[in-house]
Amino acid sequence: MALQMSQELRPGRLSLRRRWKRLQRGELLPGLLFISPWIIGFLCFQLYPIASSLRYSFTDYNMMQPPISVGFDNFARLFGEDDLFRKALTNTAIYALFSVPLDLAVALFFALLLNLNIPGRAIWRTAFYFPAIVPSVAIGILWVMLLNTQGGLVNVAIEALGFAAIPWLTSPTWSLPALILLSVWGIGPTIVIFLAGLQDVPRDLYDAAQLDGAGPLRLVRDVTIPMLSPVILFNLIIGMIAALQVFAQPFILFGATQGGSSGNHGGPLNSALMYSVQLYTVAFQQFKMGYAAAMAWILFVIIFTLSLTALRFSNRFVHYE
Amino acid sequence: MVSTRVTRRTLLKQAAVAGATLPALGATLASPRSAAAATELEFWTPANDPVGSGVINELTDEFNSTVGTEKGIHVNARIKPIPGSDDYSQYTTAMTSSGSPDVVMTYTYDPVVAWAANGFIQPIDEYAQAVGIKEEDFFPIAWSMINFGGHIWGLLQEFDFNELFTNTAIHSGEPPKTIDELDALAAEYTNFDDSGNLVQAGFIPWMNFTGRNWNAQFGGSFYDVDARKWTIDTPENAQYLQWFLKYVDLFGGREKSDALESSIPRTYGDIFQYGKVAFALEGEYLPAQLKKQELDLEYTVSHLPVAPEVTYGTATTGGGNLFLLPTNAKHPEEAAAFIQYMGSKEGSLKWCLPESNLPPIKAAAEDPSFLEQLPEIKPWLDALAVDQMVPPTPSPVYPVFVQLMHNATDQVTYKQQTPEEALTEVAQKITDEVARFQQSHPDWEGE
Repeated sequence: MALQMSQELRPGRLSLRRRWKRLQRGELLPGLLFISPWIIGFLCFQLYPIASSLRYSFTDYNMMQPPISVGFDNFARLFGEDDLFRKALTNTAIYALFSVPLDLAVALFFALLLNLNIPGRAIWRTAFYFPAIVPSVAIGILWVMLLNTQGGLVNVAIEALGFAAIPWLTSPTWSLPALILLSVWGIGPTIVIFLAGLQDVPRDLYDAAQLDGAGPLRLVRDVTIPMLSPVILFNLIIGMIAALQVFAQPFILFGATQGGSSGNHGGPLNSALMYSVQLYTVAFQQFKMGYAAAMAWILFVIIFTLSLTALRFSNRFVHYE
Repeated sequence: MVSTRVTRRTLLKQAAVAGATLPALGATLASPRSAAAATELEFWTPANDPVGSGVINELTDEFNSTVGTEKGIHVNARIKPIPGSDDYSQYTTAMTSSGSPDVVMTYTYDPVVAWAANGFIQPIDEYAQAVGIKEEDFFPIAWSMINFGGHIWGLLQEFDFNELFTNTAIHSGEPPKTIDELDALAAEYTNFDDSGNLVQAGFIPWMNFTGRNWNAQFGGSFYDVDARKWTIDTPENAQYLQWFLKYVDLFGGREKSDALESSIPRTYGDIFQYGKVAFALEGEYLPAQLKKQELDLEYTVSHLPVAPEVTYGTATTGGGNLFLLPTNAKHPEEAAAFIQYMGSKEGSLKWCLPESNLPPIKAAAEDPSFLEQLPEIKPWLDALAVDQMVPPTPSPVYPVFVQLMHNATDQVTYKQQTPEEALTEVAQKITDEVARFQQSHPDWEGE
């Protein structure tokens, strides 16, 4: 009715809607031109390589000679014959299963502490974030020395408490737990995200809960965590993606430290062989790019499925205001 | 009259066009490299230590001012370090691109055969023949490292193999010549602290990734070069892995020796250099390395101990520095001239003397001044004279074998598999890998 009236009021001109569409069309081309550098970059440096890797996953390809189609042979071999692939997948799954919840819990704990109004809070926050900006190679070499069975500071502390030294990086039993514990070193960004989320929790909810007699633990359990649940979900998914793709730490720790016969960055008996490390070995040391591309796509499918599952069931534990 | 008024729409349009065309404009404005008289060569080297980089830069400058000037070639040496993982992924991916360097130098032999078989590097047969490079000029073992698959693939700057180093502060007597003598002395010099930690080892057979070299000392070999086939699951190879188990029991488990070995981070060196083990396999480069690290270690060098019926003086080649010609090199002829210069007797000696390495050319090694300036190299020259060297494996699936054999050694020393089981598994997997490789690379003459 309003539209009809406006048309009647201006009989010689286009309707509002048609004018708006013409305006949009007129600005579409400049808009596209404006973002064309990004579009070209995305097509050339992201979409094209992604599509190429999918194609290569069905080929025998060494980067120099033309790819030879092998159908699903790469995938069949990975699941049927390659025990290092299965070992790497299992190790990575265990690593993600334990490191992600551990990192979330520790990060949340420290975020809650860093949210308190304490003297020097800014310094504490910087200190907790600092490890995240140290290069991972430097961290790896540092931890090789700290975790050393003989004389490493961690074992010095353990022995001071009366326990036996733990062969963190040289034992098939302890190498994966060492990696899991080491993942806590990089929780700085997770803490920052939790801190940001904590600022958004309405103060009056805490006041109301306190009036009802809630103590600190009840406040955390019944107010903070539900209100922070979207942020927890975000950190869970991001953490899971990062954990399933972990590369730098195991590569450094089990290359620099490796006693004995290895050097394939998998730790003793390949107990800490991670998926991305094995992918790297296959691609860049064995020159089997097609096979490595198949591994990459399998990892993508796993991560995609898990992320989708987390989002799908998130409404059961995520509270949105 | 045409309106000159600037509206939001016109401003947006102009900004969009400007934003889209600026990159293209920038690209066209960048002037192409001016046509210089000299052909510019890009040379990648991993030599980033003060001594090595100094030698490489000196040699490159000399080439540029002599042969380079004469032939109109100018070499730009780029130092591209290889991380401690001994991996050449940066070189590999660069060689596949249009921006490939013209010459690459390696610090190791490991990727060379696979590079050759997969087409990353090209043979230099015609260039080698043109400058008169002949097989008889080289030590046979060195020649076999550059001549395989029916072609010459590059030139060596130096090559390495291990001898037995004895820490004389721990053992001052005669070095062991047989495996049994080594075992007896190793047991004598193995010590534990009160907590049961291994604090000194007589000998660790699998130290420094040299484990798989020990099969030669038992008369074994993983690859028959003449027949061009793998010989993995043989009794001699099983024998050396069985011998490893003696040391596993001596230490009270593989974990203990790994704990000792990792007490010195690999970036610093190894436990022999820091006096924690009596005997070790080390290369001819160790004396120079000890000097660089200012480590005070008293040692002697002798041939590796051998099992009965194996010739004393047998050793396995460790590797070497090579100069290679990438397939995508833009100036292969000029690059070959540079490779020939760097791999010549003079070029090789310039490197080998400060770095304490073995030159591949007999005339260089037999030059009296070489031994005069580097007397500690004598045991290696004596071993070369014995001529019982096991060459590196000239198979393109060697990188796969390395990973499998690492795993197999772990399986045996952690007592998860017997030596026979572990070797049979490796042999089967390598057979499958070779079959796949042959199917996709029918032109490769290697195997």
